[in-house]
Amino acid sequence: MKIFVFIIGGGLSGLILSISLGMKSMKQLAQGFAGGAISGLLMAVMLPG
Amino acid sequence: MTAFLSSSVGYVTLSIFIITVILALFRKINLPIQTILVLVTLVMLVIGVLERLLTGGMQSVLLLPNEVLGGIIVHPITALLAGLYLAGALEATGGFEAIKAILLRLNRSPLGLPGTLAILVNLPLLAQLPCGRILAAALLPLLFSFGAYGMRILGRDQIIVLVAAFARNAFGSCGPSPIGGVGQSGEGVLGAFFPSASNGILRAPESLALMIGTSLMALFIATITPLLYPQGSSLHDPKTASLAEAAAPEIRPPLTGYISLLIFVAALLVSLFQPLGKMPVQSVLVVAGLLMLLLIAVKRGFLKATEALMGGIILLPASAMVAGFMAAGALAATGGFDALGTIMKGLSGFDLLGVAGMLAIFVQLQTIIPLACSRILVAALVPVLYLFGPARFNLLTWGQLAVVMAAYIINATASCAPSPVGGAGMMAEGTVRAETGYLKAGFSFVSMAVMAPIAAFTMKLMTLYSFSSGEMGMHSPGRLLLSLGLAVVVAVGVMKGIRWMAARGPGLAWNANFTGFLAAGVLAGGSLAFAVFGLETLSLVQGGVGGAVAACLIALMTPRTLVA
Repeated sequence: MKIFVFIIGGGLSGLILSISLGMKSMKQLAQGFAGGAISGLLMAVMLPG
Repeated sequence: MTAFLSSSVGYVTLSIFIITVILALFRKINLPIQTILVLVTLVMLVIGVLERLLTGGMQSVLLLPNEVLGGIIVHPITALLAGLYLAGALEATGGFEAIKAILLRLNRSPLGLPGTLAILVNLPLLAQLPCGRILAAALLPLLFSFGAYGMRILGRDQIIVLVAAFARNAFGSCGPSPIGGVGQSGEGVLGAFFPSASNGILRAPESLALMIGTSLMALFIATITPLLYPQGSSLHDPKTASLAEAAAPEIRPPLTGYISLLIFVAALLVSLFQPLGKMPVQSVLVVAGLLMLLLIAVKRGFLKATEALMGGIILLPASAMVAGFMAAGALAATGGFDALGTIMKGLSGFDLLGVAGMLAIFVQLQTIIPLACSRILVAALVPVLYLFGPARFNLLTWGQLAVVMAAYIINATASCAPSPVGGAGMMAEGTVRAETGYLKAGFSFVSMAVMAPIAAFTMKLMTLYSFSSGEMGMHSPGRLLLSLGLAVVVAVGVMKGIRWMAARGPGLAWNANFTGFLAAGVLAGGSLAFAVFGLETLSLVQGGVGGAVAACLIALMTPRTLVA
């Protein structure tokens, strides 16, 4: 559950960041989501509980 | 007479503490905050000595230093020092250069620029260092080099947004750090009821809130800040720039950089998962630091190695923490915490505020009074929050206390960024060639409106359940993701509202921003009340009122114009 929540949360974060940076093509948004999701996954793995 | 003296001296010392901190905030006292706190501690001690001489005699006076020093919790200080020592070693061995080189390689991977930047802004959170300034000092120049004066990959506005998002992440990352992080103070208090709280009960709520807060900081800086301060940054786009001309800077980290990065990651993993059995985090970090020291010593000799290593250590957070603990100890010994607890409890007696409204103000206190390091006030305020629980005033159950603690700690942790007294945000403002205060509104907005509510919901709907063996909270990923989505939608809606209002006429940007803060404060206070008390109409209204009061105070401190 924790990993799932962090992947989605991280992906959402990456998506919003890409939009804020003015990157609007589908490819760029997907890359932003993927980068954020990877961050979320790495973070979740290091968390307890 | 003696009873009156004993009960009132706490109010006197508390007033001295608060007034001095506010005067320092408005630069009416031009001394380092640590010096101010030590002086305040001495004044409070003198008052405490006089009161005890009159009420308890010499025997009572002799116990005073013991009570003050007994309030200093050594574990977070030594963990922080060990973490800073390790970061210093990483810097000296070229570890940060290795991070930069890896990032530049990622840029050429399928993740592309957007994916790399999404990882880059979350790097401080992933690195889990005890002070965000460490990584910020190392990586802000790299972020700047993405722009006109380096690789020319990003334009002026993109650089500003990227630096701001990175700063938000860095200057909140000290909260969930397991190696001397700010959150450990709150975890220590919650450990009175949750046996495994010290394993990191606050880390997941803080981390998730910070990830989302990072991206919404980017959105705020991209959409609202240019309206508030159109001429706020002197950064320029290149006059003639083409991607063909752009050349990535050659970063060739030494082999020791990669090795020390591996040692650092290994130390972090050993500290987190304890695969070698239970051992103090400080021991792991010191051993890792010594290994790195050996690496440099082979190349440069022992003396040069030690010098390089010490050069990377930043003393501000450690000294801030010690000064904060000293002031907190003096406040505790003279009854200052009891007085603050009584005042806040008294506030909760007003029908308009109630407990929910008082808590909505309390969790935002450090964004209202942002200091150079959040540890200063955390040391003073966490014990007060503890008093609201079953241990003293019984306003909250242990589960509710954990939810409020999650919201309070992430808000407090992030408060060093908008601080005008040596705040960490100034590093980012300097990087984007902006005046002090340029990023303050964004830092404050996401702390108040986004991060505190998300941390509260994460604690209630995910973390509390696992740390209480299923006896408290809920196990509901669907509801958590829904609340996460709602927090984002509300924040985006408020930002759109600010833009709409600001477009009504010239000079309306600050008023629009104030109104947006107010609306976001009401919703943040209401959602905190919902997370703590559930769907009770009175609590929701009271939470909204408390949130509005806090938001007013925060928004009023947003500069109208930026002065050089």
